[in-house]
Amino acid sequence: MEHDIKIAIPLTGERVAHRLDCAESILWITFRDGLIVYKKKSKYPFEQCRFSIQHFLDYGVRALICGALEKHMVYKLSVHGITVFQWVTADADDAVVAFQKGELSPFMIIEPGGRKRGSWSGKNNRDYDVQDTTAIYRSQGRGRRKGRRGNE
Amino acid sequence: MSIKDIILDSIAEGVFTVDRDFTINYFNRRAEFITGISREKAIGCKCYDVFRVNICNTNCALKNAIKDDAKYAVNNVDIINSKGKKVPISINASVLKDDNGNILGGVETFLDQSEVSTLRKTIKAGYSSEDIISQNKQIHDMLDILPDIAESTSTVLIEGDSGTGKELIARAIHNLSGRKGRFVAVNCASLPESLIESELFGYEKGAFTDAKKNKPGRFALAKGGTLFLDEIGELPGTVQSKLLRVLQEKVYEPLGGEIPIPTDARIVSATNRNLKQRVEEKAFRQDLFYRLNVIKLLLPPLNQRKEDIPLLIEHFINKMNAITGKNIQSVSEDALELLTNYDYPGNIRELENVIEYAFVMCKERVIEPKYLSKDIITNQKTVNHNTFSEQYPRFGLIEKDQIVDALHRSYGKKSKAAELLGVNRSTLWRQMKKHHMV
Repeated sequence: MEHDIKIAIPLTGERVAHRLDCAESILWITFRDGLIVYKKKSKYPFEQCRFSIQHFLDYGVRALICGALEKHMVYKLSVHGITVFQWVTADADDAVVAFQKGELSPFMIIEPGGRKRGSWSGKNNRDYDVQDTTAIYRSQGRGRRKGRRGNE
Repeated sequence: MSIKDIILDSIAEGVFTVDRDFTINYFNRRAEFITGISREKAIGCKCYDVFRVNICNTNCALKNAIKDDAKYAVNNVDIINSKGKKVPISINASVLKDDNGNILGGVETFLDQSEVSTLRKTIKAGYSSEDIISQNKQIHDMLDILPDIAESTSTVLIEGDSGTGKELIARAIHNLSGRKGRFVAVNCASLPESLIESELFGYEKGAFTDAKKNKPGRFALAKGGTLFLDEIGELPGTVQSKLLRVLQEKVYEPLGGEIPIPTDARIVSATNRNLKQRVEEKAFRQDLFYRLNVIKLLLPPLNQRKEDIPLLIEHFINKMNAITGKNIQSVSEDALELLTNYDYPGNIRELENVIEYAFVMCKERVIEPKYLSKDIITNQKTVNHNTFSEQYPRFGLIEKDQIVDALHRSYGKKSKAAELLGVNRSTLWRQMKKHHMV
């Protein structure tokens, strides 16, 4: 479906894996009109990061919610059109809810229960914000709108 | 600040302590520097959320130390810091107890091994595709298929200007291939025509007057490995036909030898010339060209991948810091602009030399324009921002390519891209939205 949004979340237990390359499993989710229409957890199938990119592309993943990953991987995923929410520290379910609301951003720390605790990001990490990472969801007319968009 | 804190902040190792739930309760200054996380943010968080080691799930040193009430040392592990850099480290972990012997938690000390790792890599030339630094799509498309190319035994032809990293790609192919033999590089242009045949195929004792003993050629040295033939376009005609036979029959004969010797060396060749044109000029054998050109990789010159210049500068600064023992942090914005506007006819090799020159001259922590060579200052490509913006319409729909171009030139900074396009930031945002770029 054209309006489907597919995301992938590498996991350790039920949490977003602390590193992309050290995940135990991977959660595949498809959203349609703001609702989850497909959700499946599978064993982390890769040993090398390159396979993960192809796997994500095959599935049509538009966003990756993950823990730490190397800068070159962020570039690699970005050039393939995958938006990366890196350094997300949260339970997977809380990260999904934040994504649905259009509130998820890279480096975000979410406490169990969904309360945003803060961000790992400092001024040195500004260069990661290559893309407006909340825009994927908002472009579908979902999620909270905020900031200057109201003036445009 | 207590004396204990001052001491712990003065040492070269990162130190943090955790309670029994692995919640961080102390984080020293060096730990902040290595992880890129401030102690204010780290304290109160779980150690695996801050200290993203590749063994957290499988072989956590702290967990083992607390469980076994013992000291643990682990080498050759890495963390990914908040800047997205993989930092090789060595770890020591111990259990922390109170006066009554009750376990309070654990302490972990870790040492940044980046410099050792960089030097080791430089000496061994053990490059992989991860060492190829780029955010250029053409390069990434190539890197995606590199492991598949490495697994095959087909010949590879790498085309690209001098200094674009052809040998680095060839080494990456070899290292990814898992071939047990050596990587042997031959520069076909550097050897005189009279010697190149004996260098490649070796000779037998008595083959000519001074041949007093057998000498193995590069094909023999590359047995089970990879033979990299750089500047293949310069190969003399007589050797071309011999090489063609090796590629077809997988055997070669040393000079003066009678028995053909089988070879399993994988051939990777490279050229900075247009080999097809050389074929049309009859300077290169057509049949050999087709044999070599089974898989062709094309490396763009640096002036076509300017978005990579800041990344490469950072890489060369880290490398030069490791080699020279200096502690240069970065280049200033003015210097970066000069470095970006230069055309680099010598490509990445020239950029590396420019950084090396700046390292010799620089007495501060930041490379300023005054430390750059005169070539960089005087041979600036005239990038007139006004002229650039005049290329683009100020009203109506800006073409997607123009936006992408401007974003590339501004390294993803939308405000700067808007400035280049001569529109304000919100207009750029609106145009990006129209093109479904956001």
